[in-house]
Amino acid sequence: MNPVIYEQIMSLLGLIALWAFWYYLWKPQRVDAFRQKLFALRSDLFDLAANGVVPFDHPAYAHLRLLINGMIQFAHRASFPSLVVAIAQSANAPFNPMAAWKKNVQELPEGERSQLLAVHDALSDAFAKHLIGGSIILSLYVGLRVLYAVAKAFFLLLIGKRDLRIFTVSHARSKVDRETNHVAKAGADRIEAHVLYEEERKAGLRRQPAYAR
Amino acid sequence: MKEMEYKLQSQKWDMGLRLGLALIKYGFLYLCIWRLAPAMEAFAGKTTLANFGVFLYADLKANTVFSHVVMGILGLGGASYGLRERSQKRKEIRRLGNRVVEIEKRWDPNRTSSGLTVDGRSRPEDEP
Repeated sequence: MNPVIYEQIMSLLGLIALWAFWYYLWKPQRVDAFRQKLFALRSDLFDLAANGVVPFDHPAYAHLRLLINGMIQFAHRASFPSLVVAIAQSANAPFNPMAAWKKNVQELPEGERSQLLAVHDALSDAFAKHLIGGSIILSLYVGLRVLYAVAKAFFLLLIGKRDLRIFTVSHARSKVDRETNHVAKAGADRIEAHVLYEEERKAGLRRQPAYAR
Repeated sequence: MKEMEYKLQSQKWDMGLRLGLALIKYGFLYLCIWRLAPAMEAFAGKTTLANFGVFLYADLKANTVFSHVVMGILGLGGASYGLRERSQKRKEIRRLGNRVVEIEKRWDPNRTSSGLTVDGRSRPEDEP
């Protein structure tokens, strides 16, 4: 038996094993973990309403719950290509349901508003991390941005414009989080708007034009 | 009218996206099998499974046998542990899910659902 053919067979079998691992073990596991985070957030939101922070029938509550439900339902389809499609589509969107939601949130008193916004921020953070962790391109891009920020910080340190005290693990971690949010949040907003639009339509909260019924 | 156009366009993009992702997924597998087939044919009839085993054995030289065995145990063990954990979690979701729904509906009769199956999986119609 030719050793080259043997090597080829072993490499290809390895690639097929990697393919099965990625699609049938790794991806479903990531989706389950993301869904678990979203269920916890939905539970937090429910507790806010049950404790009287916001009424169950307030649009700010109802629409945020719809958004979380939509994210749970379509968590398995959140990917870099879907982000690109959502950005491309957003230019033609007839309206932005997220802007309407933010307007509804503004009607709430300060304390209640910040609690609801905290749930939404946690949702966006979880989504941004899920999106970046599942894409090699986005992970590389974030990695490059972090490297650039580190190189810049070192340069500023060398010319005496930065203090050595900022070079801590927590500072580095917050920098990575900031870069992650910066990269994914702009796109995540578009996906959120699209998901909320679809969920509102399904729940019958959006009036369908007569010709579309 | 703009809303209808947007809806139609969304459906078109969505279909394109599903098709593209399915092409990447199955295209890669097809490519591997397509490359694997001639390699298998190359020794079909000329090489027995025992011969292949000899090569495999020669590959697992004394210094690499241990690492192969450890990697195999870790890989298979990890995968089966993950699958077992997942099935346990789904059982728990099924057990507790209905209770949560019941309690939440008492507070909020207009409660909206995530649209997953009772054990927390995507519905088949939502699959890509």
